[in-house]
Amino acid sequence: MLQQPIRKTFDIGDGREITIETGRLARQADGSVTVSIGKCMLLATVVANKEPREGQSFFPLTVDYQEKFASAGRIPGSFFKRESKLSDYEVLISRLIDRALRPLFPDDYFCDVQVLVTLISSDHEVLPDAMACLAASAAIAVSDVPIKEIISEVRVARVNG
Amino acid sequence: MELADMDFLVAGSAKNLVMVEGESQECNEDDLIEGLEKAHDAIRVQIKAQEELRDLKGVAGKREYTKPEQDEAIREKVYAFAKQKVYEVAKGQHSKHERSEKFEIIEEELMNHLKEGATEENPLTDLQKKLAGTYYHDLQYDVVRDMILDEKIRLDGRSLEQIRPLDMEVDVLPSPHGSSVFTRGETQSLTTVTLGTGLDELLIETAATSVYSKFILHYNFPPFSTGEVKMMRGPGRREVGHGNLAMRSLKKMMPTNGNFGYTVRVVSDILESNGSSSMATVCAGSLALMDAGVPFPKHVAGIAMGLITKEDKFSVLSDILGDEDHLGDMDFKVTGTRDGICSVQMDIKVDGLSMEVMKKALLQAKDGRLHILNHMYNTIPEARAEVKPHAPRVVKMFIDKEFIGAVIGPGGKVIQEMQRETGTTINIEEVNNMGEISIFGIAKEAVIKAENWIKGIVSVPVVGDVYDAVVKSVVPFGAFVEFLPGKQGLVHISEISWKRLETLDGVVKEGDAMKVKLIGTDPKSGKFKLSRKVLIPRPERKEGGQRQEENASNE
Repeated sequence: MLQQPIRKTFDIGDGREITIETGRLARQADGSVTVSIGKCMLLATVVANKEPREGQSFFPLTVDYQEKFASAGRIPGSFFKRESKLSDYEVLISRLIDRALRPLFPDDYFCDVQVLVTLISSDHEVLPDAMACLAASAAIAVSDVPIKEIISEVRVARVNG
Repeated sequence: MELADMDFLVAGSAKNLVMVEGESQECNEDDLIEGLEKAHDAIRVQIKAQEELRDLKGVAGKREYTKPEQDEAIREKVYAFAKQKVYEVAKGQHSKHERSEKFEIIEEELMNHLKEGATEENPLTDLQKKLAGTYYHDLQYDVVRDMILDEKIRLDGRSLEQIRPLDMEVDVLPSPHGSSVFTRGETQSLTTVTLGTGLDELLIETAATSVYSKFILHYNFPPFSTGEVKMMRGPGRREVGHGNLAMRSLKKMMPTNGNFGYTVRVVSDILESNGSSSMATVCAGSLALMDAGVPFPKHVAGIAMGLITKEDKFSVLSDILGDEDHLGDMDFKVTGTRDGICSVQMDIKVDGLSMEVMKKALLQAKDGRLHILNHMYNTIPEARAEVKPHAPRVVKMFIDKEFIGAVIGPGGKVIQEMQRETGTTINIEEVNNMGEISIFGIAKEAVIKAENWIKGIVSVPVVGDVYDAVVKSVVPFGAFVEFLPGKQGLVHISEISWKRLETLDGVVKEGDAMKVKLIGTDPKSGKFKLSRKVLIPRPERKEGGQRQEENASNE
């Protein structure tokens, strides 16, 4: 019954593989992908309104990156035991994605666009922040939301010189 | 109340029931109907009392008020122009988005049609435009209802009792302790289960009580699930209510015996939605709990039902869509196992609903539920025997109440050391005059280590038993050794060796390991007396006088 999910796997050069999948989860979003590397999995969705709001003069893009506690097998320590407001760490990653995505949209595009990236399974070995941007971009890439180019983000580090 | 196995809140007028909400321990449909009838009798008594009060006061009637304007000519035009078009779309078996787009196109055509029909002397007023919009919605409502009642065909082409296509999967995410994806038509839930410790319990405070809950369920409904853009706020009332209904249903099957020590949190993220996402949460939760290895004895499934009535005709709809929710006369959700009902939430909008109809609806809900349950059992037939390797292990043990202090130690010293050294989390609670200890840890070995540690603290040493001991300090008259965690005793200098020792210098020192036997306790102080020499073979005794010399020369 379900349409067959579409997968794309590629090697990132150190033996690890990233898989991008679409068509299985969250199909009412305009674009939706899961990105996985090792045990780390991110779900990214994008939805854009068809019409701009009246009098809209800037591009209303919102990006929220959230980490689910269950992704690491933990229960939130807060009083209500529920994920609530984004933490500073999540806000910073949201902003990283936002800054990377914002220039990709046409200058005259004023419709509300909402990008939600969720860490649904975490892996000690993988830092999800750079992957989050890949996921967000892939979600837009598979949608009909207009963007000028496709982007991604990687982390560069130097270990022991 | 705590002993009740059915717990329902029922509201109604003298003629009709209006709302039912509640839970039960797998009751059957007949019991529920009987309960509702009893409730209705009680409601009627209370209504009668109110009527008597009103009559006593002599209230004569109600005030007049102005009704919104109507324009029957416009209504006729709307119906004449659009009825056939709406019918064709309704029967076209479109998906939710396609259908609403097609309905919008017709609405535009309709408005243009009305404008063309207007003349300069008789232009289309704003009010007429507004009314036309309202009538158009009435038309949609009427057309779809008639289609369902007369042709028994639904918006997506299903028959009345048909469930949407099901797709289920467990163990979809590698890191959470349990996970599932449950998809029913255009409604999808990604659900995770997390196993936690006593520290993760949720405090539920009301004005009168504060209780801790070991079972938490959260329901999230992000805007993209319906393809919308919306501000992300905290959970709203709808989310809280849906989560609560699912939680009550699943809680009926949660293990309650003392050996299951976990705090369990279920999170349902609705990724796609077109109706009955709370019921999808129940199904997905049941699957994920079994996937997590929670000893969950039976699957619980949920189904949302609808009812459409017109005069003496009625149709009961199984597994309703979002759109059918709005146009039905009764909307009710039933969850349960193969053996009975776990919870019900019912909102009745129609006058004069007979118990017969309600009974038919409940039985049809049961068929639908069993159909879904079969799929769920095919996906995962029973709870996994063990929790997953990356889930925390929990061991429960019970100790004498008097030892609780010893396990905690002064200012928590002992318990903190144990937690630090073993990497576990240890909880102690006083239950029924016993100390109930739960040890949590990711690695099995760590939990066993902590368990043995506590066993050592609480075990009462038995005279005659042999222990592995470590020398803690050496004093002129012997050595103090720790022979069980937290338990020290004295090996008197005369019990160290069969030889007569003047000093322990060079014989034992701090940190030495030795085997010792408990030879007695001091009747006054309760201190432990240990011996090392009784475990060493006794050297053959030489003739009387030579013994001393030999000892001396040996040293």
